[in-house]
Amino acid sequence: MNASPKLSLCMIVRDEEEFLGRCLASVRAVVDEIIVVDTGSADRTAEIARSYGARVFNFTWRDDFAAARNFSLDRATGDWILYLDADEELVLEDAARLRPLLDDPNVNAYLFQTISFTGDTPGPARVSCVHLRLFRNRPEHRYVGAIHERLPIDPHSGLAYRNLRILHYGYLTGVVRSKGKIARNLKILRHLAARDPDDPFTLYNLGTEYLRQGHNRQAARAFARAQKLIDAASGWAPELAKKYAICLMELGDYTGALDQLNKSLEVYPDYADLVFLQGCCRHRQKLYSSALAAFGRCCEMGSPPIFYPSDDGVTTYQAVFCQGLVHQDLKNYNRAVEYYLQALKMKPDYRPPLLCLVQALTVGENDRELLTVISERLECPADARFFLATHLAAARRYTLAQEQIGLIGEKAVPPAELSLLRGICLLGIKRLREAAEILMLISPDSPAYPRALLHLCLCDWLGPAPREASVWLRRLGRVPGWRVESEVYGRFHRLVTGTGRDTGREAAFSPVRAKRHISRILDLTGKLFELDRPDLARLAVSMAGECGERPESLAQVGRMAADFGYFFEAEEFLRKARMGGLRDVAVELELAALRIKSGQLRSAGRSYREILEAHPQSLESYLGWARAFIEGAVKALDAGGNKFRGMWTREVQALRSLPLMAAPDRLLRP
Amino acid sequence: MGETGIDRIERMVAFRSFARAMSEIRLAEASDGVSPELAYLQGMSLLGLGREDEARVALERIGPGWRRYPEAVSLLLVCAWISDDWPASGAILEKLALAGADKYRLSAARHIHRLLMEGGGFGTISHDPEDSRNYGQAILEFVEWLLVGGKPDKARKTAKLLALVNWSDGLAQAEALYTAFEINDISGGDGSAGTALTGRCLLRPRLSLCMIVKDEEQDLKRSLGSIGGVADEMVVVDTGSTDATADLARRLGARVIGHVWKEDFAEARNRSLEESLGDWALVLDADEELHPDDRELLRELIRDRNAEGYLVRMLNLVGGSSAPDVENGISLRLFRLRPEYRFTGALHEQIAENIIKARPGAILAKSALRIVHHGYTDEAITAKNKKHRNLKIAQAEVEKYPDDRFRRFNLGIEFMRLENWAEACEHLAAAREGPLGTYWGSKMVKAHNLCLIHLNQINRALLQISSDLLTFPQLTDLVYLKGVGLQMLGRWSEAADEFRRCLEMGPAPVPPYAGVEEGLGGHKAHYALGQVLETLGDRTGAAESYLKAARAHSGWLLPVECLAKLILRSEPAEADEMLEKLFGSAQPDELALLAELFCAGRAYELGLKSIGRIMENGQGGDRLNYLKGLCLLKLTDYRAACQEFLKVPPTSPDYRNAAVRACFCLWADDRFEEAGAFLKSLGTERALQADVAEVFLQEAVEVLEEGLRRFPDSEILINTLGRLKGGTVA
Repeated sequence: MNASPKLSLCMIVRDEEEFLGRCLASVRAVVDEIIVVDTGSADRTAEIARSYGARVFNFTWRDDFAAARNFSLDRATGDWILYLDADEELVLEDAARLRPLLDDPNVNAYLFQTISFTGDTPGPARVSCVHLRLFRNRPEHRYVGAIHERLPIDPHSGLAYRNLRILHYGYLTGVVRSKGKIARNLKILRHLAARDPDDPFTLYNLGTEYLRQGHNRQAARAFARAQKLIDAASGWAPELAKKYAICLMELGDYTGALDQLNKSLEVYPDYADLVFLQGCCRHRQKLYSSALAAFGRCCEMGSPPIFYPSDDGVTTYQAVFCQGLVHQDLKNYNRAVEYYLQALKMKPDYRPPLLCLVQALTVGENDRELLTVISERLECPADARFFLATHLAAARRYTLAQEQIGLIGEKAVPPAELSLLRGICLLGIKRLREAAEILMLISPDSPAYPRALLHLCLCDWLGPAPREASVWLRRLGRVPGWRVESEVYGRFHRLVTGTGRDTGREAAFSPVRAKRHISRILDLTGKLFELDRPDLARLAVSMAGECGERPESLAQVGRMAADFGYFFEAEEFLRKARMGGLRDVAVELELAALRIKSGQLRSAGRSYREILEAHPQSLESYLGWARAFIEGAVKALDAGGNKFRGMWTREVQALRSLPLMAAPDRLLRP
Repeated sequence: MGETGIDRIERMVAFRSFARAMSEIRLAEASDGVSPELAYLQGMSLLGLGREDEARVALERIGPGWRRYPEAVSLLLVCAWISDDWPASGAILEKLALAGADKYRLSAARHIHRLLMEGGGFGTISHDPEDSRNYGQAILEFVEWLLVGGKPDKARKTAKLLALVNWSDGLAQAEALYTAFEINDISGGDGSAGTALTGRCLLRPRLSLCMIVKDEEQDLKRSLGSIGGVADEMVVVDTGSTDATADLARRLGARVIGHVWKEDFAEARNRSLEESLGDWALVLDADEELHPDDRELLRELIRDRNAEGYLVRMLNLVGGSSAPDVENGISLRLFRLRPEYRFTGALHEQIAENIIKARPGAILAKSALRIVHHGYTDEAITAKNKKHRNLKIAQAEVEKYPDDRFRRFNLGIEFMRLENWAEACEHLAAAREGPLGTYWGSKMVKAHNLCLIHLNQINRALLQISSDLLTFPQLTDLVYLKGVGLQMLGRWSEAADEFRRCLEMGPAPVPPYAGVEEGLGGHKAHYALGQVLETLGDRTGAAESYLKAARAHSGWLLPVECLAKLILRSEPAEADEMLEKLFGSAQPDELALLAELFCAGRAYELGLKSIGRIMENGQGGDRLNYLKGLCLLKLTDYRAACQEFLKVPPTSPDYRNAAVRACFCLWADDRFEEAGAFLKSLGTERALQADVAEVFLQEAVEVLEEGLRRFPDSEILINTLGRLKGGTVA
């Protein structure tokens, strides 16, 4: 026993050929023996295991994780046991620190930090928690629990944490789906719950699976029961609290969620994830100040203690980004931009703030300056720059998008995609001929081809020879999967060129795809408003009537018209939407804002008052109402036909330069 | 000469009232002889008065033994710089080195000497932040002294050294100094339209007069009269007048707030600030008045967006009122009303430092505004001395007849008039030893117990009152005092019981008793009971008591004010209930006052209800029409509001306001043509148009403020409000 203690790696596997190699490679050098228990693989798993020198045993799976794991423990001959799953890997730098841990006579077991990747690829989205993974090989150290099995080791007897990390790949979206884990787990869990309906751990696990599938109501029920039965000292109690709160929040029960969070924070005051969720709830309730306070607190808290499962970035870039979002809703655009930039600096590969920054570009005054800063911040330039250019074009900042395109290396992005983007930008700034020339060069093999055809149609309709568009439409008709677009654009072509003669003879759109038709028609309408052709836009809208004109679509058209300065059309469509029975704050706000524009202060004021009576948390109404009054003051000073007109120019100018008056109209929209 | 004397002079110097400081210094020297402290203050004052040669003489007298000797030598150096005496400056520099000045002061002095004499150039002076800071502060001290000496150009030149130091605050602090000395780029700048415009508020700021009073019926009319029409409201905190002060103030248009005097000036002043609703506060005492020529200037000053407050000139009238001498002083009397700006100091209350503390960098500008103080005129002093004269007589009497208890009782009463409670208590305690007749005995025990309460010996007073009540069982005043004592101990429900007992007993019968105060068995007891019940949370009970108090003493409006506040603070349902009860019994003038107070408290629905009730009874008046219009306007029923405003006849004082608001209503109701025509019909005054615009802006401000309450972090709300109201909104 004087020699260095012996370490056995134990694991249970089934069809793990994809991951097993990585796992075993990470620990091969530190362990003395590898015990692999195979519960019925059909692939090369056993073969791979043996190639790393593992002793492989077969074990018949009987829906009980603990039994399988204990079977592997029984086979181990070492003094210590390291436990890993096949989809895990020991962090390379930490492997070297592992052996010395075995010599500490005061420790019976070690906790490891497990970092689970949760997105599509191993990246910034990750959750970390702690698990017991290294322990002395003693007969009493055996697992219990058919699923989410645990080792019954007393936390007060020689448990230690030495910062060793394990990476876990099993929660990546693709992996979860391919392995059918959810179905498997649900099956086991339902079985367990039927046997012992009052086991809080089972209920908790059941809730977790429901939550993962988006069955929030069922999840809430399971969590609520689990919480009633749970022993507060359980290691998984904090996570239950967090998941239950998420669940309530997703169900829209913010008061309940906050209640839950407040109670939990009394028990786990340093669990930053809970504070982060408080912020999310407050934000959704539009209680912006307390949301800001919560996210600010997250940033001050620092990472939560290691034994809490924590989402990556809740005390850093995510909390900062969320503060930006709140400021955006508060219309503090400049502040929002600061936060986005800060978040981007903390985490350059985190995309949401980048997207928000592009959107912020459409309202700010210092666009170019900001764009330079963004470009500087971006790492992996070509790819991110293309992303930036695409979103700039979507935000109709074509000139800025063109500049970014100019900076992209030719090879970095598929050339057809780049040409498409170039064409869209040229069309946007109404250089129709050049746009068409570029778009025409896109090869039919490219995935960008159908979109290029659609834009080519627009080029022709807006140009001197609308009939020419028929060429593109014919080609579009031959591309599989673009039938709806082909129908909508074809119908519109006949309307524009007058070749359809009598709409009554047109075949009706298929009702099955009505939704998709409408959405394409609306896209087209928006584009036409943008290209300053309200006449064509009206024509496009008229097609929507066939699909059953829904008030939501009309409202959308109204908003688009207002976007591009066609206030008369905007009001018309919004009113129609309202007459169609649509009751929506956004529509009411838009109409009220239009009334200020047309000088109907009384009805503007009344609209805002009515909105506020129903929705007191409407920042836009306060802004709009105040704006109406200040407009009134300007009118009183500057009204036509009065004797002192022109004597107050300075005052009028000062009023017009007030922040509220000088801000873009977007301010008055939710 | 005690410590406090030096402190006082020091404060005068700090406030740069150098002339007053000089006269004080002379007096102090005459009585206590010369001291280095006095010489130093004298040097500073003379420097400030532009007599730097005399200042040097004064400062030369200070010997090296004094603890602030290096400062004195530095000041001497400044005198030399001011008079361009470079040889002397060189010599003094050497003296400074020997004087044990610290290295920062020394190198600062050397650098300034070179800079001012030769215009010498320096590289970066020091890189260590701590060093830089100390060095910078030494420079700043010299800058300030040069400013005191009236040499802004030299001060500015010196301040340039700060740019060479690694201390970022330095230049900002120098700027603040310039501002304090009115060497301000903003006010003295190019005067272009742009700066002039952005430097002023768009919305007319509201001015509140804040005054604390006690027995000021002689002076009140002059002081309130001087400010009438300039201030938007007058808030008078009465700390226990026994004369007609409160009623007079109300008649002069002030809002009177009853306040229990707690031997603390700052606390009382702060109460007056808390009760004020304006954007700016003007603090005036009853024996002061605004100079009649400065009314316009006052309005102009508060339109400035940059200043947080103003030092005003105090003209202290001395001597006979026919040809008084004038002593000049400076005092901070005009400042923005912000919750964080409060007075401190129970005796010599101050606010300037607190403003700077709450808002570092706040500009407290000097102004030419004049306040005339009559408290030092012979007449005023004579009136005050009357009490002292009476005291002297009473004292002489007691010396002559030391065993006469009645004479001793009179002496106690005189001490009480002078608020010397301890002496009064002693004499009264001695006087009451022995058998007491009902007639002046009742007066005596009451006075004695009152003194005990003032001396905060409340438990002793309570015990004694209980035993005194055995002797004077029908003396309601004693029961009332007991209630007051219990109230001060926070034993609220017992206090309530005592006041209820007062009401049961009714007023004490005057024969056999004497010195019975009016109302202690009636309206005052009702009022006191109301206050106690309010503290206890019994709103309904409190409301009833206030109403009874007002009823029992018609024309006494203080309880009605309390009532309005109580209703405003209640939940809507509860408020309705209270109001319904009130409507059953209230008098029209009470309802009118309630309506007025509801409007002031922005409770327009309540206001409308009260007005409706008065009008139902067939009563009314121009004022009520105006108020009704106001309520309707605020409730955005512009059409109805307009009708009410148009009912106000040209003879009413509210006519102009009503006309402006009628015009506003037409506009806000999209009746532009009518509005234009109406405006034309009103006459040729250009300002009318601005007034209408201002009503619009006020409505905008209310909406924005309401929004800000819900979204305190919205910058666009904060900035817009800030630009509209002037200054930044905290």
